[in-house]
Amino acid sequence: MKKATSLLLALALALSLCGCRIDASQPAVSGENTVTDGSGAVLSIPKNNTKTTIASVYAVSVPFIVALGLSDRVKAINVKSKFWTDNDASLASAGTVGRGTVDLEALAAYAPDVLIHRSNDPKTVEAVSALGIDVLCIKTENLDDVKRTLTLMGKYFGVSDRAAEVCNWMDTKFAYIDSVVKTIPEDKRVTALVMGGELGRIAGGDMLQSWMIEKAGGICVADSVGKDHNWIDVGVETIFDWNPDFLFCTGSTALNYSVDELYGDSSWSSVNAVKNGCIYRIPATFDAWDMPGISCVIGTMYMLHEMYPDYFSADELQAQIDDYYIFMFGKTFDASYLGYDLEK
Amino acid sequence: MKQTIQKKRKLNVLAIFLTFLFLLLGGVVLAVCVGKYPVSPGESISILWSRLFGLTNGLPDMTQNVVMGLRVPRILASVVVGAALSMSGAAYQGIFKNPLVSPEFLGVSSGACIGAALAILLSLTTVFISLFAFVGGIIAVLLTVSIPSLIKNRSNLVLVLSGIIVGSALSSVFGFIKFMADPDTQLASITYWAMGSFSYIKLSELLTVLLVIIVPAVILVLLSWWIDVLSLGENEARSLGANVKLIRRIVITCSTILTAGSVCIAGTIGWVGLIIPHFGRMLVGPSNRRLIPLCGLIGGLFMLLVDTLTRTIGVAEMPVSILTGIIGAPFYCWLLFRQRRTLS
Amino acid sequence: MSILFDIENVSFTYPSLKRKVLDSVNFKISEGDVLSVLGRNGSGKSTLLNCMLGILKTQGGAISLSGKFLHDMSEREIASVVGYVPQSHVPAFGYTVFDFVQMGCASRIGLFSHPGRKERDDTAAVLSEMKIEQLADRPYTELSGGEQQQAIIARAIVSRPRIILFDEPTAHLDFGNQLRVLRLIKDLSEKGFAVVITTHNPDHAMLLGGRAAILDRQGHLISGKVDDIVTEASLKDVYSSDLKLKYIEEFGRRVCVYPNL
Repeated sequence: MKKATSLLLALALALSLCGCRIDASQPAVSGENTVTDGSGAVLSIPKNNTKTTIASVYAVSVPFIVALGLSDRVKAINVKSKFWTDNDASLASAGTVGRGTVDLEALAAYAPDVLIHRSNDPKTVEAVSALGIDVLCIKTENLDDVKRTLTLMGKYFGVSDRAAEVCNWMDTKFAYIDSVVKTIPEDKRVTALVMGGELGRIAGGDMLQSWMIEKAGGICVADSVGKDHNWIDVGVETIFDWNPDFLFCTGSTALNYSVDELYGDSSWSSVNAVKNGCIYRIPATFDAWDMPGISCVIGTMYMLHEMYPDYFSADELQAQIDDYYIFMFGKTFDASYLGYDLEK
Repeated sequence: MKQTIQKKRKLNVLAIFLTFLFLLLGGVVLAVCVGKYPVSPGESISILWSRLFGLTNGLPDMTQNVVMGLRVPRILASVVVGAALSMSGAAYQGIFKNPLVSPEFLGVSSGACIGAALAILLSLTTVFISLFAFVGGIIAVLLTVSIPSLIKNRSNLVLVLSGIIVGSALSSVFGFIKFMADPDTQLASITYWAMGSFSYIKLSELLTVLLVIIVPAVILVLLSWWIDVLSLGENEARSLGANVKLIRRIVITCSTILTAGSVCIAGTIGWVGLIIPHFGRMLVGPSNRRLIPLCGLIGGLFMLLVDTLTRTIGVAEMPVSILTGIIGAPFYCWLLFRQRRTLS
Repeated sequence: MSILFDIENVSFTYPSLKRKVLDSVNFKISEGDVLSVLGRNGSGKSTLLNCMLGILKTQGGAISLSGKFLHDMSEREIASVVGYVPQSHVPAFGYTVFDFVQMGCASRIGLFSHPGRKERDDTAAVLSEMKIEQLADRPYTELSGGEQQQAIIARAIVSRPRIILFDEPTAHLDFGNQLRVLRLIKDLSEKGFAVVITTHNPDHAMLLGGRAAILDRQGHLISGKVDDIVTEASLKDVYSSDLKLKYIEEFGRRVCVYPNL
């Protein structure tokens, strides 16, 4: 029996020694034909880059792929909601290689040219690269990141013109928001806070959501706190202390509470936002407007309308929403389908 | 007559060993041939063959990468981890003369996991991660063992209870480390450690850990008869001439290295170290001389089958621990039912 | 006859207890001796055996085994001279009787090795000597109390020690099995093993004959010939009861009887 075990171990050793030769080094990169991705890695752009095929398990990449018109190159994708597959035939027909984490062998089976992935997962990058598949990491913490990602993907996939067009569109919209905000007198400014999936969890001052409040002319009460661009649990009492005029609940994740619950909860009754009926769930159920992506334009406009309806009416907002979806999909969607209600 | 019974039993044991050895080898070959990436068994075998003997084959790079880069390391890792966990489980059960303990019930796995997480938190290198994992495991098992001697009650139940106490204390510590970790860079890899997965095995890393694992495994096999003696109880073992303290120290150290090594390869994986020794005892009886080597074979086979299932069924890969739990819990119930007489 | 155990002025106190369990205990055991240690429950008989095995360290005095200080001997050296039959208990795992008995060879086995052919042969020989070959493949945990006692005794003699210590060998056994175990002990003694047994039954001491010792609650030990040590007066001291010793013509020896209730 001991012999058998040692035989097995010897075999294992032999196999592993043989396998060591697999780790081939990356081809050397050269000047112009390279990009630096969100994780700081330098990638060479494939020669025939207008045909580069894509896989991803990172749901954040989906709006970027759609906005840049790269859907038809997608071989496998992980979407956050049915909205994307329902409205994009190419995405609907694409496969799946995992949710969040990559199923390496399934990925090998789909054999895409590149995997689009988040920028903080070196293990996956290493494993996928070893398969001979490039990994393009994207980082989307703030608006600069979003634009940089658009430019990066534009260059990498040979759609720089479209990337510039999207960036330009966003700049124009934000400039328009600025022009509206300028008309709001300083004494009319209100305080606001974006709340996360759990009570007491909020978007810190370093998050895009807080930036959106400020962009929309609000005063973000969470300015003084921040934790690595991530949601922080500050506790309900801190929120009571801040006493914001407006509470926005994130649309990017499920809530373990509801807006109606807060209105009905006596302990919350002294908070300004509750008193004045100013708690809003950020639309849309399908395409979260407060996600770091192109939709944050609409998210900011939504905040602008809810905080200052006199300066930015529901009709104006609706026109902008329609404009966004036409820009992205070439068509408009019903408010009820997207899951928002501006009448309220 | 007695001699023939002895001989017959020896033959039976040999037959069981050979059966499992062939099952394991067959399992390895089968596992090399199945997966989501389409590789025919013939292609897999020819790749293995050519790698083993340094020949070339005309198969595409991706196919070679999948077989040698993904499947072979994974298969080896699962066999090694299954064998290591089962052998250390059997040794722990013998040394604590308690069939209810296992690496995870003694807190060793969580301790090793915390050690690894701490090393990640301190941004240390891979070597230190393994070292910390081992130290964490040793500290955990010492804590678990010290509680029964502190309250002067060395019953099976108290040891199990003590394992639960240490386990939950350690999970708090682990939670704290996760809380302290940088969500962008460290959290993902810490979570990966805790989850248990064979997805991203690198042959080079596996080989390093393998060397660390082989030594204690061999020592345990050599000491297996003494584990029998120690399982009679401390005083009885000493009266028979056993150097109880030395043997116990060596066995606990070796078992903990095995567990920590497995944690280094694949994170924490439950149940294997508990149920495989029981299963082995049903086949060859409690004598550790037969049990510990057999546990290596059965544990390796079991883990291989479980991992092969996780990577072949479903669209997204299932964490290994889910499957070991689903199989392990009812299996353990059944074992307890079968052994109800001997346990009381 | 050479002296095996020389116990001089040995004292022992458990750290958690104030009372001395052994207080200046003196006695000697030579090759072939039979010594029955009598005492009440909890008087420290097992403690005495554990001190003689080197498992407990004495606090005063000295124990010599075959002329060497026990203190300086390894477990292995002690075990090669002293066999031990603990009170039967159920171990966690059901080793076969063969494997169980074979563990008695431990003092001859190196740290990283296993029993070999010689140990297997010795074990088989002991099993047939004790006439329990038929139990060889049965799990120890499934044996009856008497069979377990036989297996433990087989384990104690497999490595051919010169002295065997029995800790309450008749506890938990019925009358028939008690008698069988005592007969076995007598046989061993006749084969030349020195034997020490602890018991709380004066009859057992008288059945075995040889020497007896009485350990009282204060930790004092007196020893001598059975007939000199086991008297009605000493029994009253030990058990605080008026036990009677009657000479039975038929057996040609004294027996211990209870008074009326």
